[in-house]
Amino acid sequence: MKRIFNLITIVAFSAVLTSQALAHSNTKMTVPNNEAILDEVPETISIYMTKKIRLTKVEMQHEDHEILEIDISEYKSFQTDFTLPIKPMGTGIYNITWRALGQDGHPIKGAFQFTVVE
Amino acid sequence: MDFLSLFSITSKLMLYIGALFASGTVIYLILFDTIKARSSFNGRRMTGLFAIIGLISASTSYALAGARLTGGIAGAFDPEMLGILWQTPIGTALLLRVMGFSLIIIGLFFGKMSKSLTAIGCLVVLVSFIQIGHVADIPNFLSQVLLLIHLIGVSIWVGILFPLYRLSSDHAQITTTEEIAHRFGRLAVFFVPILLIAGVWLAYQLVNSFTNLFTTGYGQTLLIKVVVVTGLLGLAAANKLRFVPALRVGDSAALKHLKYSVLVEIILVAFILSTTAILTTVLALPEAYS
Repeated sequence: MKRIFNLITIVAFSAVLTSQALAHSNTKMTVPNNEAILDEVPETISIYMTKKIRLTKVEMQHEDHEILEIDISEYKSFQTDFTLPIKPMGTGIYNITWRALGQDGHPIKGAFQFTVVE
Repeated sequence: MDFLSLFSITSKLMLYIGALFASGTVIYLILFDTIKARSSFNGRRMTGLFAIIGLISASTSYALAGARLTGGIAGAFDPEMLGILWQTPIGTALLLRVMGFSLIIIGLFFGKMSKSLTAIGCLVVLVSFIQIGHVADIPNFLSQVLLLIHLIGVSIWVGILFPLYRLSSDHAQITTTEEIAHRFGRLAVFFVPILLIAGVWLAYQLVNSFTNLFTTGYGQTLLIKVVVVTGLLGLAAANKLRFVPALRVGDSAALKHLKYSVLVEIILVAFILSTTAILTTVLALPEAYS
C-alpha cells in the first residue's frame, strides 16, 4: 500500500515537472521581442496571439523590484492583439508574465523579457 | 510542485471517481442487481454518495480553473474569472455535470422511474467530458464518440468492483457472487476490447507519434497508465478464468482470492484515474517560450 502511494507521488511530481518543458504556446509575437535589448523603456508592450484569448492577468517585474500588476481592464473580450501601457522604471531587465483563457477553455500562460540599456 | 496544481489534480480525480463510479453503479443496478445480492450491497446509497462527490468536485474543479487564470487561489472566488469561464466550453461542461449529477440524485427517489432518470443523468455527466479537454480539440467527431464509448466501458468495469467486493466478503453469498461475476465476465469479453481499442485510438491521436510516447512527459505518463491497465487486465483474466469457475464448485478459498483480487483492482483503478487526472489537468497550461 505504501509502495503504491510512493509510486503515485513520484508519477505526480515527474508529470508536473516535465509538463512545463513540453508545453507549447500559440503566441505569434510580442513587442518587444523576447530577450530584446533596447536603449529606452517602451511606453507599451504588445502580445499577438494566433488564436483569440481573454487576458486575465499581466504582471511586470523590473529587476528586483516588487511585481507590478499591469492594467488590462481595457480588454474585456476574446481577441488576438493586446497593447498595454507600462510604467517606465529605468534601465535593467523587465520580466512580463501573463495568464489567459483560450476560447476552447484552455488556460494559457506565457512570459517574455527585455533589457533596457543606457 | 505548486499547491494549485496538486489541488486541481485531486479535484479532477474526485470528479472522475464520482462520474465513473456513479455511472458504473447505475449500470450495475440495471444489468446485474438481484434481490439476493441486495442484502449485501446497497447500490442506491452508493450511487447517491458518488453523485454527491461528483457534484462537489465538479464545482471545485470549475473554481480552480478560475484560480489558474489569476495564478492565485483568490481567482477561485473572483466573479469576473468565473464569468469568463462560463462563456467557454468549461461553462457548458459544468452545466451538464450539475444537471447530470442532480438528475442522478433526484432519480434515486423516483421508484419506478428511478432507473431511466439515473441512467439519463449518467449519460449527461459522461457527455460533459467530451465538451472540454484534449480530445475535444481533435477536429474530428469520431474521437469524441470514441471517448464517450471509452467512458461508458470504463463505467461498466468500475461499477462491478464495489458490489463484487461486498458480495465476495460474504460467505453466504457464494452462489450469487458466482452468478453475477460469471455474467459480468461474459459481458466483458465484448465491451473490454471495445474500450481498449477506443483508448488506444485516442492515445494515438493525442500523442501523435511513437517517439513522443517515450520522449515527452505526456507520453511517459500515458505509458505508465498503459502498464497499470495491463496489470488490471491480468487480474481480471485471473478472476474470470480461475476464481469464478472455482466458485461454481463451492470453493470458499476462491471467494477469498476473488475478494483480494477485486480489492487490488480497486486500488489499480484509483491509480489509473490519478494518472489520467495528471494527463488532463497539468498538461493544459502551455508555457510560452519554453
